[in-house]
Amino acid sequence: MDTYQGIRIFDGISIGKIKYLNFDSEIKESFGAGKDIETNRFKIAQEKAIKDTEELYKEAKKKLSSKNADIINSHVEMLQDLDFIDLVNDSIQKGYTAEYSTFSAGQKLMDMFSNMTDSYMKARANDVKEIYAQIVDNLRKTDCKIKLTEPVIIVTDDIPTSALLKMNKKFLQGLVLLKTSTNAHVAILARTMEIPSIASVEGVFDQKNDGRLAILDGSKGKLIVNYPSDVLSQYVNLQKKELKAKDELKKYIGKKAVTKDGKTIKINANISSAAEVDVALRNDAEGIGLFRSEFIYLSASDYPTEDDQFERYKSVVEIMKDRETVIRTLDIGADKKVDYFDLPKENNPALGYRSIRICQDRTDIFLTQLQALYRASAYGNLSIMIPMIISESEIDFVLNMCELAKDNLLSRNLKFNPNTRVGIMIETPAAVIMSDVFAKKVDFFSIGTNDLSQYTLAIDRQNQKLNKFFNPHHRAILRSIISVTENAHKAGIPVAICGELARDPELTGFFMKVGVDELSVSSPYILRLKANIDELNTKDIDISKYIN
Amino acid sequence: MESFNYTIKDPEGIHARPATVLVQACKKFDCVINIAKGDTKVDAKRIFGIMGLGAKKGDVIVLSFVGDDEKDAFCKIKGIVEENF
Repeated sequence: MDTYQGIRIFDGISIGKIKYLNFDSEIKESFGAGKDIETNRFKIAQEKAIKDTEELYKEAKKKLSSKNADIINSHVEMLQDLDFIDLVNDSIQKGYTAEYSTFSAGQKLMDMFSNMTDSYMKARANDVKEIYAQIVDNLRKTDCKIKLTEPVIIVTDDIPTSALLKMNKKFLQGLVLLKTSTNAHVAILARTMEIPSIASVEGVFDQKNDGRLAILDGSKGKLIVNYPSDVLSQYVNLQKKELKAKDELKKYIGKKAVTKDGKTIKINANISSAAEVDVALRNDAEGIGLFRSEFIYLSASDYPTEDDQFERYKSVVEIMKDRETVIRTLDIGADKKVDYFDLPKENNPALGYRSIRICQDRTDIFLTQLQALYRASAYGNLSIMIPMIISESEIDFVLNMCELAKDNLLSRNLKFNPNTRVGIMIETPAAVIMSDVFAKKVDFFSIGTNDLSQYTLAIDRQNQKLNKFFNPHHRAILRSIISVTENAHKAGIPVAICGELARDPELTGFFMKVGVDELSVSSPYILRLKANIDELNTKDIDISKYIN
Repeated sequence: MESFNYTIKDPEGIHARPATVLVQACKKFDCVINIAKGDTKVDAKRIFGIMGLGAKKGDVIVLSFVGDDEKDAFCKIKGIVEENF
């Protein structure tokens, strides 16, 4: 029996065949989605590689010696070489994927160079590898639709969120992210999709296990292969028990979250796509506390139009009716990259060009989104939430843009709710410190504990090496929550918590005692929170224990 | 048709940099431009082909031009080859 030990992302037991996806090295010989589609995919990926390399050449001319910069110029030429393209097209015509065709064409050219006698020419094989790797990389990012035909447990080092979103959920039984941190965006996505999953697996995964039956134990963080039959039957029983426990939580559906001493708190759901509204409602969410609109951008291949966005927002608020739906405006950058935004690579993306910062430069994109949001506001109970705020001037910018969006809709004779609430996320230390001032300008706060922890503790949540230094209950975070809540209430506005911390059962009592108004969590945690609150008595809670 | 012979002087032969310069210059012309070494003839607008010739110092290459703008191409490319190869 072989056990791979990782860290839990989402609890649950699944039993299924392993499908190993390698996003790093060799590509398997596989048939594509059709000649036209694959040809087009190759073209897009190749064009992007050319454009990126040309940019790189421009930069290199400034920084490097002309000899080194010239190498990059030759890459631009290699990317467009007709011999290379002919080889790729031949392979695509035979029915192979664009990835495999690029890879095999690259291999042939590498062989040509490797077989030359001249040592300089031999070394050019590396240039070939670099250029085709770039195209393959683009192919995977732009449109890596992985077709699943049977129930599987996906095992991979890391996977783009777009690829996960495009998978057939029916067959996606489990997810093992060998080298990804549990705080990475893809891990959060796995949680919202309710897939038993683990991350940060120790040791090296033996690729021979691809295709073998395996057991994934989410809560224990284990992936088990080559197991004896008694282990299997043990897990089959466990799986049954789990399903039963899940069933028992159903008695909380329709009940308010009330403590033994009669205190209550609103429990909302975090969602990433309109499709997840159903999951939220099934789990009895009182509202949507966070709709991550960036997923609309992440799953598209070009800027989503106002109409397109409007339809999606409308579909959510219409289902939610008078229950509040808080939609967060575009929060891309950092670990959430979108190709067509063409964002430059950064050394420190978490502290870089992201979310509201991009919107302040590219006001057209922001205005399009605000107009779509206001239009949807006519169809339900919608609130707008702005991420990553650090200053009053940013709030003023947002409010001005909101006025502009409303004016534009008025002149187009489109209906909207002029009193739509506009709130901000508190996820930077700057926003915590300035929360008394900000509270007077906006309609609500929502504390994003993931980024707030990352920025307060200076711990990169993508870096799994830092997990041991990360204390989610750090007093600096808990004290921040108290101060933000006090400042909000002084100004008469409500406070929600929408980060991962919101579902932490050890903190539920603390949040309630502090006076937090709403907790917004991934749908599967709603009923667990209710069951948890059912057992609580806030009179037993001593805040000083948490912060001193 | 226009053509000329050239003996390579660059100690490293036709490596990536001069090959790139040549391809980028040839692409500006409509005429067919071939580059031959011995019996091997390749399209001068394709970098992998040119590099695949493995032409070294002392090797003789033949460049030929066929098409409407062959005269212009001949003059321009001859200068580039003499300067870079």
